[in-house]
Amino acid sequence: MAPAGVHGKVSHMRTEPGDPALAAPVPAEATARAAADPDVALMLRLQAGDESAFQDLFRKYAPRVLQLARRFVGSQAQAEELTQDVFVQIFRFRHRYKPQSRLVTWIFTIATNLCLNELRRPERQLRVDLWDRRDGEDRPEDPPLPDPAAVTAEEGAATRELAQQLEAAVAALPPKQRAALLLSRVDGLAYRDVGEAIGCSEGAVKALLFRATQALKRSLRDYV
Amino acid sequence: MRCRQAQRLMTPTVDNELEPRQQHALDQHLTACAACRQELAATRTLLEVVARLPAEMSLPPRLEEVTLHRMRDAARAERSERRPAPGGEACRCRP
Repeated sequence: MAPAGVHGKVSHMRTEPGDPALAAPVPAEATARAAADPDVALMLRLQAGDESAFQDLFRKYAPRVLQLARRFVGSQAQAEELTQDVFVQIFRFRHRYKPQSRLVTWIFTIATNLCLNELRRPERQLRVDLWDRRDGEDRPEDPPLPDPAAVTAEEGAATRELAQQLEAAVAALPPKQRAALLLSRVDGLAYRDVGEAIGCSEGAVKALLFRATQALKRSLRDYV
Repeated sequence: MRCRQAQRLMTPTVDNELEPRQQHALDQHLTACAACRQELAATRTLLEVVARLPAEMSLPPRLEEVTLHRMRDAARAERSERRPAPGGEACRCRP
C-alpha cells in the first residue's frame, strides 16, 4: 500500500520522456495492432518512455478503477490509494503487456488482484471483526452511496432507494462473487476476460455469477 | 434438463455467454416450464438493474498528481537499477 495518500506532498520532478533506458523495441506486429486499437497505441507509447501516455491512460481508466476499488474496500481513502497502486503497477509492469491482450482486461486484472489482496490482509480482517462487534455505531466502511448525478429527479426516491439497496447487497457479496459480477455486468468484460482477471476458468466464473445472482435476488426480493 | 440446471444457465444466457448446445437445451426447457420462464425474467430484470450501476467515479482533484509523482519515483528507481556501479561494469560487492 502506498505510504503517501492523495493529500501527500508532491514535488514536480520530471522524468525523461522517451528515455531510451526505459524503452523497449517495438515489433512490427505490435505497430500494426496499435494502428487498429488506440489502447495498444497508448501502451506502446508508455513502453517507449512517453510520460504523457501514462497521464492519458490514467485519465481514461482511473475513474473506472476508482469505482471498482471503492466497491471492494468501501472507504474512499483506501480506494484512492489502491487506484494509485494500480497505476504504479501498470507503469512497473508496462513491458509485460502484450498487444494481443485487451488493455482493459490487463488493467482490471491488476486492479482486481490488488483489491482482493487488500481484502485478505490480516489487519483488515481484525478491523472488520472489531467493527462487527460494535452494534449501532457508524462503520467507516459502509457500502458506497450511488452517485447522485446518476439518478435523475424523475426517477425519484424509489430508484435511489433501490440503488442504495443494490450497492449494499453487492458490498455484502463474497469478494470473488463481487468481482465476477462487477467486472461482467458493470465493466462489460466477457466471461473469458473476467476469468483472466480473477484467475479462474469460465466455468468457475459462471458458478460465481450464479451464486452472486441468487444472493442478490434474496437481498432485493422486495425491490426487483 | 431439470429446473436446477436451467437456473444455473440463466445468467449466462442473459449475458449471451452460453454455447449453442446449452442454449438449445435451455430454450427447450423454457418452452415447457412456466416457473423457469418467470425466473429468467426476474434474473434479466435484476441483471439490468446491476448493469445500471455507475461504472465510473469522479476523480478527486489531486489523485492524478500524486499518482504521477509515484510513477516518476518508480521511473527514477528503474534508471538507478540499470545504471552501472561507479568505476565498473557491475557491482561485485560481497556482504
